[in-house]
Amino acid sequence: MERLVTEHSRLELGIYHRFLPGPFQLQLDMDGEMIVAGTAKTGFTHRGLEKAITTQKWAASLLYADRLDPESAIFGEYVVCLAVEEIAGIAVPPRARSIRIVLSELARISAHLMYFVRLAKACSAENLMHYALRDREKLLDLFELITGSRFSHNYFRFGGVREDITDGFIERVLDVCSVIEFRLNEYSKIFFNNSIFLKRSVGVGTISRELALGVGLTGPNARASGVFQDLRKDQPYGGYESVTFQIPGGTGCVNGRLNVRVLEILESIKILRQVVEHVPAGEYSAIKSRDAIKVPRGEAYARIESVRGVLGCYVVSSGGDKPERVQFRSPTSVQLGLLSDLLVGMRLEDLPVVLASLDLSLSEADR
Amino acid sequence: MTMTLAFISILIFTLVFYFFVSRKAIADLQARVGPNQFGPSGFFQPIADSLKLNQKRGDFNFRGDSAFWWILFHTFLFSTLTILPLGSAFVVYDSKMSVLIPILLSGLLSMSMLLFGINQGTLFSVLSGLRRTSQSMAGLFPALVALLCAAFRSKGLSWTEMNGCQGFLPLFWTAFSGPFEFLAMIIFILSGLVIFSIYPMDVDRESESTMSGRVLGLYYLAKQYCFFLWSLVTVVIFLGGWQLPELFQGIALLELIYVLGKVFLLMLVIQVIAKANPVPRVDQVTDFSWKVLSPLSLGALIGNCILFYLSAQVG
Repeated sequence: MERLVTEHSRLELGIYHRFLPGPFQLQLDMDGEMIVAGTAKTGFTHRGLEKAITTQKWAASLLYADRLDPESAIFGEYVVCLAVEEIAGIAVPPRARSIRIVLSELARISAHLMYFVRLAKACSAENLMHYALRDREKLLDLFELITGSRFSHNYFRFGGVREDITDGFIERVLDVCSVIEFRLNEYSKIFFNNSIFLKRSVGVGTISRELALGVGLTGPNARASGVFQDLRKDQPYGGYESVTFQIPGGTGCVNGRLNVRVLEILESIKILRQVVEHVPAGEYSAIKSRDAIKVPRGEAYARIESVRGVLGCYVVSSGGDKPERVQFRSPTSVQLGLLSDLLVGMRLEDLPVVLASLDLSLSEADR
Repeated sequence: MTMTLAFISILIFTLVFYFFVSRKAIADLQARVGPNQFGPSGFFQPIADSLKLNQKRGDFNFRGDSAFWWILFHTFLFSTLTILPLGSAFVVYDSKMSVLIPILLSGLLSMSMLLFGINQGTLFSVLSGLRRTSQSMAGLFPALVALLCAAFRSKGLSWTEMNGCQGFLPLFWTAFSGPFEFLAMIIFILSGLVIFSIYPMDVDRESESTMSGRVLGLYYLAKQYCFFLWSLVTVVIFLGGWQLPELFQGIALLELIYVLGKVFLLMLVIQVIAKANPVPRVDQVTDFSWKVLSPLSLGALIGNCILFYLSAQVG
């Protein structure tokens, strides 16, 4: 029987659209409800962040690094600190290393909770959205307690951290860990195992292992596709060598990516419990004065396991009071690169769910 | 005149009360405060919201014949206000097929949504119209079969017959007179959610995203009215209608309050359950309707036939 052949229609979504996780544009060729081709255009929130850092003194570079991804600002600070400390040969005191791990893992949990919010919103599961936001508040309270701000913390310093942890902080971290563990169980019952959600997420937007390796995908999305790489374990930095945790994996679909994040939260809680119970006594920073930093001529590339994958930072110093060159390698840029392969054959209705499941941060990609 | 004023006042008060209670209940379920600004504890928030929407000009871009279909859609829908079965005094016209009017209406609505979407001329609107129509068509069949299950007991399809075969106590309601009638009620409710695209079967959000201001206000009102209409039909057919104890029978205002109370309680229960679930895709909704609701409704009908046959043999 002869099939009716129709022309493909072009659909342009964005720069702002409720399907999209941030300001970027998707150009889709549609055959009815099905996507036959898709390309992503980015750069709409380009701020010249890397160039701006080079116009400021060394101490201010951490403020700018905060803005790389406002949702998990700690990781931007961390990676710049590691690169500069390598050039300057600064040894970070053990207490500061522990505090950095605590803050990083809290930021990881907080960002993963926000991931649940976005995924729930994409599926119109309002209950989970509000529950996850409520629980994330507890983590933001902790950030406020220790850094003075809920976002854009500006807390890490070359050689350590800005302030020591306050009395009762460790107890509160342990309390929050218990609450989050309990809540994850609750989320599983109301949402993760909901049959409608499973229908919308299992086998949808699958990233194969080959595709993940081909585009250089890292982080939870790569681990969900069977690429078991985690810098915290493969090339430990900043004290991660002394903690034990597992690298979770999953199927490469939306559900797999969600499950990996659920398991990662549990692993982060495991790390937090190991670290906070043995925070070493001593100094919290190797350099006391904010302006005392002297960075000799040299260059370094540091990378860390941020919440979305490998976050790299290349710093060049000419020995002056400002950085010569700073460049980031952000995981979201890589994720955007696989969209043209991933979107083909997908239903239009699945698009918001798949995009939410990728955990894109356009702020990080556009810089 | 006094009766009309009382009717309108009760309807508006119960509507506001329903919106307030449902929003508060859902907010409580979602660990948030809910409406709390306008009126005591935010009681008049629905009025404030509707006023706010209505003072904004809708920047909806009508193209071609879409305005015609838009007007037709709302004319179809709100014409049913004249035949709402809210009590013995409110059934102005009751034919032998009155119960089929909402079913007929849903078919007309889906057609006008399709033509409205096509006339809008954008990909999203065309897809939206097609989704709505396929969804409505999928929901119509199980709804009709479930209605036939109830008609076994009432032996007629008029509002009076449907209501008259039931009693005041839940034990004498059609829904609880047998297992197949109960199943039919569940199928009927779910089919209504599918037909009128009511949350969580509210799979199409594209049409909403193109509206604003008073156009969006009218659209929300139409959706809520569809939900109300279907719940009212469910209450009259399956949940005892306006049957009061003998002492109070025939008192129009009491019947009205009783029916509205049951309708809003049913709507509240559906909303609370719905909010706990994500929204499925349109193909999943139509699949559910054709592959689950339709066979189940046929099973309920056949089961009911067998039961009635056996009871006739024994009796």
